[in-house]
Amino acid sequence: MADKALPGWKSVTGWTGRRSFRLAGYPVDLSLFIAHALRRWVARGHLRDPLNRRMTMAQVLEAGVDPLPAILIVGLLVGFSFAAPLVALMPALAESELAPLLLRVIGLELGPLLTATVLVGRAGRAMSVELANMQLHGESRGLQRLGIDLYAFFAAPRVIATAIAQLVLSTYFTTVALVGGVPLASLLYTGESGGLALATLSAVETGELAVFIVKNLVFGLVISGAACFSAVQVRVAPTEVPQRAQQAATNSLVLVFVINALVIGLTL
Amino acid sequence: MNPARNDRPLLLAEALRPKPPAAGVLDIECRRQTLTVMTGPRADETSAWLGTLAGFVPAVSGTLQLPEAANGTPRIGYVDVATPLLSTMDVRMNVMLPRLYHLGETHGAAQRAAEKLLERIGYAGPADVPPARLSPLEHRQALLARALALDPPLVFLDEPFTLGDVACWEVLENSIAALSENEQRAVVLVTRNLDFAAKVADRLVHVDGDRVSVHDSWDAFARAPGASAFLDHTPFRAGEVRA
Repeated sequence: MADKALPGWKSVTGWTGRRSFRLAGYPVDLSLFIAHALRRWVARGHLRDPLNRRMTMAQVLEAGVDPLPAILIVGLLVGFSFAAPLVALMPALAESELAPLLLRVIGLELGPLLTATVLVGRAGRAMSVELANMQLHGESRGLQRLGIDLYAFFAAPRVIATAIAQLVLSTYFTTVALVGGVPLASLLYTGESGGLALATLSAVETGELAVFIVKNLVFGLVISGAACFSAVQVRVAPTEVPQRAQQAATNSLVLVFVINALVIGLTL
Repeated sequence: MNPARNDRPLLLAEALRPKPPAAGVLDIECRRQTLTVMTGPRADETSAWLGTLAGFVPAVSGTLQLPEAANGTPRIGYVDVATPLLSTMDVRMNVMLPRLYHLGETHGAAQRAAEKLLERIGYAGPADVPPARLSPLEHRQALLARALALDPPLVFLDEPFTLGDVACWEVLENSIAALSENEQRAVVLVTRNLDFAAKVADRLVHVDGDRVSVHDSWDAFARAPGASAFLDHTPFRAGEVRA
């Protein structure tokens, strides 16, 4: 009521302020949601509990196996697409100079980012729609009345499974890109294939590998956490389901890129 | 009725005042082998009362005692068609789920228990299909089986008879009546199926706005002031007052 009485310019600034607070608070809310789900999962016995184990493994298969063909194809094409201009247009660059560049760009940056993009589109959206429909139709309320913890039973297995899937798929992506796409480009433009791929793989350092693993796990947590977090906010209208799925996809993509930029800033 | 020393009430509500849309104050106790019917002209009121009695909605004031839960395992069963089975699992898995989650049973043991329970309830439909493929009666039976998976002594049912097929009512009536008679549970049921209430209810709770009255028999309810207006306007055929 008070807002309706305000002049137009004050309500615009009010809207901007509220929106800014909501945006700034989203990463905090999401982090708390993910932490809460993981804590409840651990409290129930994590992988020692048979049902936890079964649900988590089922989600790993669902999130990790389904996008694999797309990941392999995209990985091969990305490896070729980024290596080909470098090999063709900069023939003076030695393998020892080209290899770290390809590893950094394809392995550490593009691999995780593009894998995350594919996962957001496939596993993230599917997860969000599935849980949102359960919320909308009262199925999750039925489980709560049975004393089943939705965080431990639904959210946590998906969050963990997507983190594992992101890491595994990103590894596949990077491997196919560096071992398939890069040698293919080298073969087409220089007539030689094995040397550049070997040099690229040899350029891997322990620190970079650790960053690769941590970054992918965090991406996976964000993708599925955002999907579950948005889904549980569905209330009454069927139109909320696609809206929440879209919101989850957008938010998780933005966060993934923000986290990636932060990691680059911290590690370079 | 003088309770036996070890026959403590499974449900004990004293001066219980619910949140809106329910209103009024209720004192009631329910023991094993009793079937309490809650009825009234407005479905939202009776459903809200049932949720309060089951402990899902905190009351505004008063006390409520329910069977104690050990290690978080619920000791009540609740059936409400507005909270359906999980659509991502088949019927058998839905019934197995409470045992897998709370008891940590192996898949095989939970499966055998679920199949035995479905058979006991009289479920004749397929157990390996998703809930969307069930008839309304099969869905209600499966919901009942899931609610009974952990063998709760106290069961709440919210409007189980909202079925289009009247022939199915008898099947469901027999299942529900057997819960209290044969299986020695306390059953609290919200319904406007007054034929059923007249036949089997041990106690009736009539809810009408902030007027909540408890009657120890159908006859007592039918003779109560204000009951005739409700009985005359209720869509189900009302039972006759027994002489």
